[in-house]
Amino acid sequence: MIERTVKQSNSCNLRQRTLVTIIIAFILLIGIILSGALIGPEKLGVNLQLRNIPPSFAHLFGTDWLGRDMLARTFKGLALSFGVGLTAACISTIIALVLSLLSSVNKAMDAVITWLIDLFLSMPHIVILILISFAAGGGFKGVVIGLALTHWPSLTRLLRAEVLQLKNMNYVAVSKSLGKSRLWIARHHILPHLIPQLIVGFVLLFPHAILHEAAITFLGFGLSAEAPAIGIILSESMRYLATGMWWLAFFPGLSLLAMVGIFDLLGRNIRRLIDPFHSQKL
Amino acid sequence: MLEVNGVSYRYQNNPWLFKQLNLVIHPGEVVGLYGKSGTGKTTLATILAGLKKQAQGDIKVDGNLYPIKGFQPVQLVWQLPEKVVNPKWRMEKVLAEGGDLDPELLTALGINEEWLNRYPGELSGGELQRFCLARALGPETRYLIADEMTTMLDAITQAQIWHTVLQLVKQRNIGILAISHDPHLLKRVCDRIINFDELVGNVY
Repeated sequence: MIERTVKQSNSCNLRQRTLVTIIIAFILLIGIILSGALIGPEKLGVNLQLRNIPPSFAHLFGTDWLGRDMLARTFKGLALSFGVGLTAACISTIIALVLSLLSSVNKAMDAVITWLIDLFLSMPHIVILILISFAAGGGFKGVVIGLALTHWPSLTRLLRAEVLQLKNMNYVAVSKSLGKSRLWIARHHILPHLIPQLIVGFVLLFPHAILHEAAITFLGFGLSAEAPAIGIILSESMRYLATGMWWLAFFPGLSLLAMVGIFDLLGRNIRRLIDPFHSQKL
Repeated sequence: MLEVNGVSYRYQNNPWLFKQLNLVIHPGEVVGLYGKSGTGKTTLATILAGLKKQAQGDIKVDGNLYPIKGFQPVQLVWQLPEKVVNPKWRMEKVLAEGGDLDPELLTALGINEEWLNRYPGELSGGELQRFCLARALGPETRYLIADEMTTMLDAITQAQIWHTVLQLVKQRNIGILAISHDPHLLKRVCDRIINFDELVGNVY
């Protein structure tokens, strides 16, 4: 009895800490997205009387050469990035799941999918990303398609290995001998084991997708120039950096980094909580 | 009748594990099988349960040639129960996988009602093995391969489980192949005993 209470209080502390981190990260992200969504067009408007103001209490992130408030633009940009990242990561995760399950069908299928993974991983990420988003017509749609079609390989490889291991488990063999179909086994035996990897993989895809979105937008192949995306903000501010307007690039860049960091934190903590290899320690 | 006619098996590029093996098990009969470690007893068990495909020869169960689609009438109870239950499932679901089981069977095997709500990690090896046995004894099961089924259990539990199984065999006319290293156990429960080495050696 004593042993049990001691053990419980210990495990609770660690688990609670992880949970608190997850909740805080989650609230921060929701805050960023909500504030981005709540910022109306009047805040983003041009105000030529307030041009090039360094950070102050009225304008925490300063204003740019057209007098636009950088704080509003940054948050709008982060919300936009989140939208792009969410859509792309969702599609990527679904692609990864479907391909990894297909790879367990037979050896030929597995060879094809492994080859596909190797093919996509062997090409520089940013190059095919630019190619695909350019071919898909650019803009929001092009970026999302490009990101979705380039971010599945590493997660697929992870899931495929997992599926391969699972399908050779004895309990899967028993399930077969009890007359269960392939689909039933995939749904009841394999999928529940993949869910932790799937959730963690999904959350950890976010920072990748967001950074790549910013990168190709910065290079001019992504979102259109009117959209207040972080990539656009950064590439526009390049021209003004030399004149000493450091805040134009510094705060948006830092915010992007912070959001990516929070996502990473969220992903790693969720993994600690639900991944069987990590959760045992809690 | 479970008939094994001239069955051979080898693992990729290895020498034949056994060749031209013949074996017959009648319904309601308990056949013991013993032999040295690593000679292919478990491999034979998995082939009989339809989990592996033999390289040569054919197997018939009540006149039906292998491979059989769907539920296998020959069910295997494994040596290590921990490996044959999904660790993420509650025991309820594990049992449900075996089809509609007779509640009396669960009582006879000493399965406690409380255990149904637990996860496999929360049960001992002996408790788990009872579940595996129950799951394998679905209504459609005609033959049971007990591969070292009670090796990890203490003598009393071993006796309990075999007692129940032998009763069931009589009731439902199930044939059993009991694989074990324990000659005393085999002598006690089996109608006839086969030495695996001789069974394989017969051909040469």
